[in-house]
Amino acid sequence: MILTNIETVPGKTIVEHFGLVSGNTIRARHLGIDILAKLKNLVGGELRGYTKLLQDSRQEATQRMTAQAEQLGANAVVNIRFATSSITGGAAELYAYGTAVRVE
Amino acid sequence: MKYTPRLPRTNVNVSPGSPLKDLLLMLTAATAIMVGIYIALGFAVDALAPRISYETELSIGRFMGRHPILKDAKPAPQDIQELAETIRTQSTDIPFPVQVSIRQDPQVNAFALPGGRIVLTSGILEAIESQNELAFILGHELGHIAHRDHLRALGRGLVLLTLSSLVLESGDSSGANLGKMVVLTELTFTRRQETLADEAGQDALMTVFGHVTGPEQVFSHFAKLADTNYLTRFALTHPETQARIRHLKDRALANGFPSRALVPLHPEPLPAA
Amino acid sequence: MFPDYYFFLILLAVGYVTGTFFERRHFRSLERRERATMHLPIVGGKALPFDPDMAEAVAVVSGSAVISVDYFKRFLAWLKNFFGGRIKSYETLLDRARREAMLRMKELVPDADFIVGVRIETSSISKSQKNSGVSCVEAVAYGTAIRLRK
Repeated sequence: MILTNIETVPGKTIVEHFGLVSGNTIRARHLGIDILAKLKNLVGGELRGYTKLLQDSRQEATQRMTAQAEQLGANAVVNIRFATSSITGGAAELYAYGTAVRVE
Repeated sequence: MKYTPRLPRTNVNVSPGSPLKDLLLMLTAATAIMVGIYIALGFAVDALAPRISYETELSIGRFMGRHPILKDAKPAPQDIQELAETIRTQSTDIPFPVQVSIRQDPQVNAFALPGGRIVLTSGILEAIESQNELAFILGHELGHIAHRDHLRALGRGLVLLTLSSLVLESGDSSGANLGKMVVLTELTFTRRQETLADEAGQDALMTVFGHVTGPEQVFSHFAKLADTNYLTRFALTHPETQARIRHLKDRALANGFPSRALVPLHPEPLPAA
Repeated sequence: MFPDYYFFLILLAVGYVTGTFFERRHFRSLERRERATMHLPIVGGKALPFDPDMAEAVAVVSGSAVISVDYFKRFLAWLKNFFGGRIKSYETLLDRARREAMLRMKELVPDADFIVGVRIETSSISKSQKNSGVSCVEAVAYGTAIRLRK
C-alpha cells in the first residue's frame, strides 16, 4: 500500500478512486505513565511514555486507514492528513484520512 | 480517472468486543488490586501500630473529637468514670486518663476511640443489670485501647483514604463516586483482638471484684434486644460468641478465678478495690 | 451510603442502555444514508479530476455533527486511564460524529458531481475547565462541491 500526502503518487498514474478513507485510534495512558509524567513535571525532560503512546496511536490509525482502503480495492492512499485531538483528561485521539485510489 | 463507488465491508475504526465485558474485566482487576493493597496494608499497619507512642495517640484523640460517634455523646456519670479509672490504673498500663461518654442509641454497643475515649450506648446501659457487667464492658474496651487495636483499624482506613485521594484527584465526578464507595472508618476488630480484650475484661473483674462472674450476662443481653436488630440476635446464636464465653470459662478455670454473686447496678456504692 | 452508591449504578445502567440504543439506531441510519449517497465522490486533493471548463456550479459545503457522551462511556474511559489501551467506548462516538458530518455535507448537494478538497476537523467540547471529561465531540467536514455541465 503506497501512502503519500501529496496529490499524486510520483511516477504512477491514478486510474481509479474510491472516495475518502479514514482511520482513528483513541488511546489512554495508564497509571505508570501518569505517575512518571507527574514527576517529570517537576524536573523536565522528554516524556517518553507519552511519546511512545502517540507514536503507537499514529501507527495504528494509519493501519486502520489502509485496511479500509484495501477493503475498497485500492492500492494507494493519497492526500493523507493527520489530526490529533485530546479527548478526556488522559487520552489522545489520532485521526488519519486520505483518498483511496488505484494506481498503475 | 474513474470513480468506483464502494462501501467498506467492516468498520475498521471500531474495536470488536462488548463494552460490558470490558467493564467487567477492568472492575475485577481493579477490585483484585484494591483487595491486595488492603491486605498488604493490614500487615504493614499491624506491624506499625504498636510503635505509635501514647503521646501521638493523644493528639490523634484530640483530632478525632469531631468523630460522628462522639457528636451527640455526653460525658458519663461520675461513678462510671471512676470505675473506668479504677480499672485503668489497676488492671492495665495505659498511661493517660480515659473518658467515658454515653451516646443515645438503643442498640447495644460500645466503642473505643484513640486518646482514651470510650463510648457506651444508652442501649447497653439500660440492658445490663450489675456492676460486674459494667466492669467487664469497660475492661474489655480498655483492653482494646491497651492493645492499640483501634489504632490498627483506623490506620488502615487512613492509609486507604490518602491513597484514594492521591489516585482520584486526576479523575472526574465518576471517580469521586467510586471513592465514596470505599468504606473507611470502620472500627471492626478481629476475633483474636476481641478474645484478648475479653481476657482484659476478665482481669478487670478479678481486680475490682475478686471474681469473674459477668461476661455471660453481657453476651446474653445482645440476644435480648432481638426485636430491634436482627444483627444483635445473630450475635448470641453465632458460634463465635459461644466460643468467647467458653474461652473465658476455660481461662477462669486455668487461673483459679472464682465465681460469685453479681453486684446490682444501683444504688449500691462501688466496692473498694 | 444509599443515595450515592445506588444513584451512581442507576446512572451507569441508564447510560449504557440508552447509549447503546441511540448508537445502534445511528449506525443503521449512517449505513443507509451512505448507501444512498454512494454515487457522490469525495476527494481530499485539490487536483480536479475533470476538465475545469466543464464546471457549471461551484460552492463550499460543510456538514457538522455534535454527538454527546453518555455516563457509561465516560466511566469506562475514566477506568481506562489506569489500565491504558484503546478506549473502545469513545471509538464509536468519534466514528459516528465524523460519518454524520460527511453525510450531512454530501446531503446538502445531492445533485453535485464531485466534492473536492475535503477536510475534516474534530474537536472535543468540555463543560468543565478542569479538562477532566469531555461532554461532547464535534466533527466538521467541509469541501468544494462542483456540478458539471452535461
